[in-house]
Amino acid sequence: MNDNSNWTPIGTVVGNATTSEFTFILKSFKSRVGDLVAVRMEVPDEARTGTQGIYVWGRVISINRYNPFFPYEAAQELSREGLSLRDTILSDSRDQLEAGVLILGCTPVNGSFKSLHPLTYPVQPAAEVLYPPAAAIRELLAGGIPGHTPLHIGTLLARPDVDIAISADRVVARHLAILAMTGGGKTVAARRILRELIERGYPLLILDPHGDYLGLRQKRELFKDTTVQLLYPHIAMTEQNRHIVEILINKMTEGLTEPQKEVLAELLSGVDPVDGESVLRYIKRLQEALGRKTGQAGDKRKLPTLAVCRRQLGAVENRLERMEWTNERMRQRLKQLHFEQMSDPQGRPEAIVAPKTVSILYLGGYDHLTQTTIASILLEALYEHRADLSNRIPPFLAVIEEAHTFIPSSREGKADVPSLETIRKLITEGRKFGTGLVLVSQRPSRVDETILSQCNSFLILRLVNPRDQNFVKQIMENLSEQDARMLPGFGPGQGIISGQAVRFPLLVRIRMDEDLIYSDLGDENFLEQAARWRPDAHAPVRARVADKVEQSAALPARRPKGQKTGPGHEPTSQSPAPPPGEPERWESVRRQFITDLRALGELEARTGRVWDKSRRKDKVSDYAGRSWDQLKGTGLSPARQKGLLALLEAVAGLKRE
Amino acid sequence: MATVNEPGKGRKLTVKERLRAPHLLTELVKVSLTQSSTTQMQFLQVLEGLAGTIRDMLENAGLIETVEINHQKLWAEMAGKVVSFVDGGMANVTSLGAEPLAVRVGSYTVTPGATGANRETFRMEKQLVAELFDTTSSQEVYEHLFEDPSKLRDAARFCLEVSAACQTLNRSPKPEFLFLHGALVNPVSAYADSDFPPFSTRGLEILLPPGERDRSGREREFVFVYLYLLNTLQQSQVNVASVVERASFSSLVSRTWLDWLKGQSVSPGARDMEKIKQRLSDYRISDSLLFHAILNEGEYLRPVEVDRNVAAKRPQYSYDVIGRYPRPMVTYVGVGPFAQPLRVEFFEEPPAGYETCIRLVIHSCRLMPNYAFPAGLDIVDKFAKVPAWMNRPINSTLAVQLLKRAMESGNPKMIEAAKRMLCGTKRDWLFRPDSTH
Repeated sequence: MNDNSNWTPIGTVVGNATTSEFTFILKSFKSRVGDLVAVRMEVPDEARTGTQGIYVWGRVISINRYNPFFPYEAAQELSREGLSLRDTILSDSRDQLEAGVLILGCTPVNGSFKSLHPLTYPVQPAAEVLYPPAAAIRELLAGGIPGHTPLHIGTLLARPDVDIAISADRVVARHLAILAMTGGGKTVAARRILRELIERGYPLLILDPHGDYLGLRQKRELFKDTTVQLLYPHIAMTEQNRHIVEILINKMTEGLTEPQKEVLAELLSGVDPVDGESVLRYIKRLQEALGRKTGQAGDKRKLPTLAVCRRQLGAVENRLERMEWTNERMRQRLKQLHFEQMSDPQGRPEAIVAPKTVSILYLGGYDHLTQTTIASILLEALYEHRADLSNRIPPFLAVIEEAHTFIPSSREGKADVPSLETIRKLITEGRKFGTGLVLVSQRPSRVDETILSQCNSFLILRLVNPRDQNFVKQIMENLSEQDARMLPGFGPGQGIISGQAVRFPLLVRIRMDEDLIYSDLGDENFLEQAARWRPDAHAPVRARVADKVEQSAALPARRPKGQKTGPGHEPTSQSPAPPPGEPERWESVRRQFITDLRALGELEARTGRVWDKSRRKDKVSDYAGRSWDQLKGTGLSPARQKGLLALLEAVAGLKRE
Repeated sequence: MATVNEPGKGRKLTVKERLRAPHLLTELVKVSLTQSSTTQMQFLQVLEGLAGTIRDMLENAGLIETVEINHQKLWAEMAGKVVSFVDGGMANVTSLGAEPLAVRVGSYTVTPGATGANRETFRMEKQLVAELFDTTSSQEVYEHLFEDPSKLRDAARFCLEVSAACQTLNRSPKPEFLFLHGALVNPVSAYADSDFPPFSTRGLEILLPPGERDRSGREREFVFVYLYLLNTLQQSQVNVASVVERASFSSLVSRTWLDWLKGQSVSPGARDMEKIKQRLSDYRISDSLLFHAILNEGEYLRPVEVDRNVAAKRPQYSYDVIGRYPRPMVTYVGVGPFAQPLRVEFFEEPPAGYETCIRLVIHSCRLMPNYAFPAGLDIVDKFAKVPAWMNRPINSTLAVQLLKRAMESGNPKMIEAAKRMLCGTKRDWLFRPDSTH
């Protein structure tokens, strides 16, 4: 039997009470929004012949404060006269506090608080509202979900002495969404949950586009018997996964027509991948094979099809090469961390997902499309391993940071994002196969609504954007209007947890794992960097050259072809025709190189001009086959486009000479 | 730039201007509607003439005083001085045979300029929830019933409010100023005849301090108890005053001053003064209406002694004791350009002087310039008031009990009678005839 003699009375129920909510007048300073309170009352017993005592449990969702003894016009008079209220006879001590309570359920007075039942009889008006001690609240919360493993995430927002645990079982199987604006504490919350799961040895995979979780590796000594590995993307080829090339072409380019697909299929079957060979290397070999095929083509009508295939393969190759290089550079900045190449998820999934292993896939440097492609390939492969019941890998939890990148809303116009369908499959089917997801996003309204609403639990921290707030209200059925109004007012790490991971929605303060903060990855100080910035060694050279160019531009123009000078040939008042624009110049010069299979590096060597080191291996024809506008589709900046035009014009000039 | 017509900023308003103030018009209409059409036509003209004449005499006789309106100065002077406000609230309980009584009196004590938790105190000084008369228990207030229960209620309320004020005086910190809401001394003749019941033992326990409860014989009667409480308050050496904001039809103050003016040099003569009094009477021009037309903001009449318990109305049974009742000093105070004047009453000139008390009243009113009522009394009024939500369930419970008893009896006439008692009128919708009758 519970003794409630030490439960402090904090108010009295007033107004119309229902089975879902009630209002009470609160004593000053005795409770706060988010507190759990109780009301003891009698309800009809099961047999309807008598009554039984129960505690009705509720959460304070609002507190209105007003002073009935301080009229508006007194405030006006005080302001007008420059008076302080305390110098007059006006009162400022009789604030009235009216608290709104959302009913969570009820427990029998003489039983355990662990089993919470729905309330089916309204709260008694004028009943005393009690403030239960921490032990009673702990018992209520400890009930959790019977038999489930608790994950301790923090404390009640209003009661630092009451820990809050969520159900690990529900998180790993039924998905969790962590939503908050930047600085709201979503990474802190995710790290807290991950830490609890690490301590239980649960296999974890983290897709980390910004390096928020790299600190886990640095602090790995805190996790005994746990491997924390940092991975960088590497899509390795095997006998079985050569279709990856087709996927990449589909995802990264405008795709192939049926005849072009046939050519590619023929090519793929003709070029066997070497086990462990990177997809990039394999694509280069495909390019070579396709080049040979073009040269030997008997049927000239196939040449355009072959050319398109080469172009698309080239585009994929370029993008992969560029992003690999960027990722490498970003990893080099973090020399103190050891990165490993990601194993093939198809062939060696156990190297990524294993008990007591945390795999952090660092996707920094890759553009969104590539990040989503990699995520799609990786998650698809891991899911297939679970779904075919081969038991090659254990159940695992994947944390997807920046979820709006991987599962964008249809309103974003990115329906073709590769990871969208994969994650949709995981979130709907994953529960059966133990592939849980934690979706983390700072812009919930940009996340796919259907996928997000499949999450059975939500941790909502601070959200200021009205669109995000409305979106959260739409997808969370049990988020009350008052709770929604609190979202912009939460401090860092404060929020509301709701859904199947908890018995009822709770306002929480997430515990900050300060020992996991990795200071080397803090925010960069750009103000300091700008103050320290000095021009590089070549800056004077660039300035001198620019001056010369300007001077030469000021000289008289060379005589146009066919135009005579001298007496009797004075220039008319009609202005000369304007010089041709870049698109026209490109059109005139590219025709000479449409079938040129030389590498661009060769042209650079021939002219002595440096254009783009990363594209030296590209074929000239890959670019010359495109119009000026189409060139933009290859990812060239305007400056690079002009550079390419100048390079081809220089080569054409050499040819003429 | 302030215009000359702007109240409180330029010159004082003339009687004519004051009479055109929108707030006064309602009073004018109320009074003039009760008169014949000819009188109605002349009412405004008469009032304007009388107010101008009377103001002229009062002003020249030095009976109109003016106080400076300066918040900063007043509140600086009041810093650290304890001020209490006392007011009562009565539950509106419908009686069904029994005579329930639910009154409470609260106090609000504040120290301007102080800080901290002790700056202000709210207390429910007295609460009286009982039956006026009940032979079956000891919860009654009076020893037996009287033909007019409302008089019993009023008498109990008068005593309870003064009793609460006396209790407030004994609190710590002891107030230096104490303001009550309502008349300081009420007429008692209506409650003083031989058939008016004495207070019960329980009534005395609630109303009187411990040493005074053991009374017997006539000492238990209202006139004696009320007089004792008023004397206690009067002898307290505290600045005690009461404030009345409601307009009444009384013209006691104006008549008293007009009588006094008869022998003064500003007066044309006693006959003319009688004519003025007659005019006031003919047109039912009350004190509040007259002084509304006369007094500017910050002005007050020199207080005048008023006898509320005149000998002519005293019952012989209590003639002597009523003669010992204090005669309050009454004044009217102009508290705002558009507000009705407040009636302020004292036992006698208070230790701090009339002017200090009236300055405090005016500046307390100025804290709510439109409502123009002392803020402290407004606060304690809200504090002590019995809200409607408290009245409603009591009345509902009583009604349900009555109906339940009637229905249990199974007598259709009894049920019908209960319905009529609850509805109050036989023309209520419940009794509307339909086509079957």
